Amino acid sequence: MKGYRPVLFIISAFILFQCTDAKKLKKDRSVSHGLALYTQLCVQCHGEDGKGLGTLYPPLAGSDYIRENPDSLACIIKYGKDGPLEVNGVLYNQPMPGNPLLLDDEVAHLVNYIQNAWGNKGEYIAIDSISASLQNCR
Amino acid sequence: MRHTLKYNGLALFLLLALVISCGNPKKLPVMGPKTVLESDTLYHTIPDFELKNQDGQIVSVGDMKGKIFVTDFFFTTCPSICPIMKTQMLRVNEKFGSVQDFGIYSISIDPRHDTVEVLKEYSERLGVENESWQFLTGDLDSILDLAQKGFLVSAAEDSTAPGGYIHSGAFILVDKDLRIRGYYDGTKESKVDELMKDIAILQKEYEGV
Ligand code: HEC
Repeated sequence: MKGYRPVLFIISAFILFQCTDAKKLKKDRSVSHGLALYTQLCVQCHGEDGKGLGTLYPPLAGSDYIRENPDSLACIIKYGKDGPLEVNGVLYNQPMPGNPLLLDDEVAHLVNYIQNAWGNKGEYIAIDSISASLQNCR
Repeated sequence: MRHTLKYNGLALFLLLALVISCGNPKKLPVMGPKTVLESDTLYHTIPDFELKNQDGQIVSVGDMKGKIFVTDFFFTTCPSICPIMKTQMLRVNEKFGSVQDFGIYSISIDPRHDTVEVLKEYSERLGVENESWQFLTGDLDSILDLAQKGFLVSAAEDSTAPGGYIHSGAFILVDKDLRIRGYYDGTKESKVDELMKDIAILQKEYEGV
């Protein structure tokens, strides 16, 4: 009986390892899709380095807004944003155009990208939870 | 023996050609339709107009005459190419903004939205502090006319385009005599590098007179 224990331990450790690895793989893949979309749709305003432009377009790199409002990102990306918005203590007030034709998985890739590029750190967001967030946009 | 002599001659010739062409800096072409009179060529020049800058002051072609200047057409809410054009124009402004007899005129093709106040805030948010970069607004029809017939670039209202307008992303280089000397893609860093080289060439041209 006792002899099984180490085997069981090794198997479960192996499974656990595989799982985290699969999750990391998913995240990496999503982030790289996100980069491609970012280069098409966002880079002209927020910049390759994510620093924005003057006080016209807010930074995404090191943005406290992204850190504190992870659930609102999907809506901003798909439907845009208007009116005053504060990022890192600076008030921005230009319209950001939406991208209403984006599919839920594309929105998810973009969210994963901006949450993990330029030194930003975020959890992997799955498509399901993006779809759920998109139900609640104003 | 004869062969080497021949090659040496050729090499010398090539070297000479190279030296001569290096010593002769390139002269920028004059763009647009020309009228050739008996002894003279008349070049296309920027026609007169009247617009307002971000401080509400009237700007006309008389303010541009005597300056080497760069113009682009844009609008503040343009989602597609304008932000990149402005990033690139910031580079031009950084390099030449404090040079005498140099100017930048960014002309809005959405003047109904881009009022003097909107342009003022836009320029401040962009971080433009010097006077040599001006943002202009005015009557829509005269602005579209100025773009098409004056600066010879496309600009029009189009409800299917992003933001509602189509327009060229060109930076237009104009000399002190209001003649167009070059068009550069304002969305491409390498083309804007070229523009900055050509501004320097144009400055030399006037120094040489
Ligand atoms: C035309 C310029 C423009 C484009 C293109 C653009 N944005 Fe924005 N973005 C803005 C502006 C302006 C704001 C601030 C909106 C406001 O003031 O309400 C903003 C705000 C944001 C914010 C929240 C504030 C912050 O800095 O954290 C995020 C996140 C964001 N944008 C992500 C994106 C992503 C992702 C894309 C591409 C899908 C994109 N943006 C494309 C101009 C733009």
